[in-house]
Amino acid sequence: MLQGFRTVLFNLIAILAVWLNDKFGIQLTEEMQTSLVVTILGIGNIILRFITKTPIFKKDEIAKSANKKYLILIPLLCLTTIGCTIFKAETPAQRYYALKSEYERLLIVAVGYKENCLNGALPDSCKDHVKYIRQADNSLYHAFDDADYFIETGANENLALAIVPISTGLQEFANYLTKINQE
Amino acid sequence: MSSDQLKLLLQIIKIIRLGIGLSKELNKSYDRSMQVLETAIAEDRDPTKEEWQELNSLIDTLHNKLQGE
Repeated sequence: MLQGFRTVLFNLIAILAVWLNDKFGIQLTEEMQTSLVVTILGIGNIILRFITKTPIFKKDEIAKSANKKYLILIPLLCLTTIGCTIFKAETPAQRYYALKSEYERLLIVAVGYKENCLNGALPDSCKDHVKYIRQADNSLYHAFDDADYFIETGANENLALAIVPISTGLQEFANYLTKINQE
Repeated sequence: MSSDQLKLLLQIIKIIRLGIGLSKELNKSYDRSMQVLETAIAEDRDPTKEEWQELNSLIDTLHNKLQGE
């Protein structure tokens, strides 16, 4: 339970920031949000030191670490759903399904951007962005395609390892989509 | 959590905001995927072959839309 504490905390802060903005128009700058998260995390970690004997930032072996990296991304991405369904996923296949669903979500954003670009609703520079989005999508699409093999064969350990580069690719894809939608 | 992961978290929030303005039709497919996952979790099982096919089909459609002219 304690291992999920940080993730839950980060999700709660993030949801609070979105809620404050949407309901009251209160905008927390990135710096403010970061400060808030770090402050609460620091207090939380101090409390945890009193109630647990396990080092909080202890590193695991490579396979577990790879799996953990993947697990960190899932709850972050889960912010996109009410009730945080992804966060509840337990088995590797369920988590992979959740990750693939988030890819679907990002594709929806990407298709929306492309359509706006084609409709002339965006500056001409959007064409270059669409080109990059297509390339990034192609890489992700094939990476998922390769990882699907491990789902079919039930090779969960291989699946966890294969997911690491996919997670990184998804992060970059999300970053890029955020950047161009702010222009 | 590293500063990179913090940045990612904040960027994901922005992506959520982007998603709010998308067409309901497109978001329906994502909601359907979430529903499938929720059912699988509730029934303590992995997604079925048919459910994988459905998700893959949705992704193929979006991928083709993005890659097409």
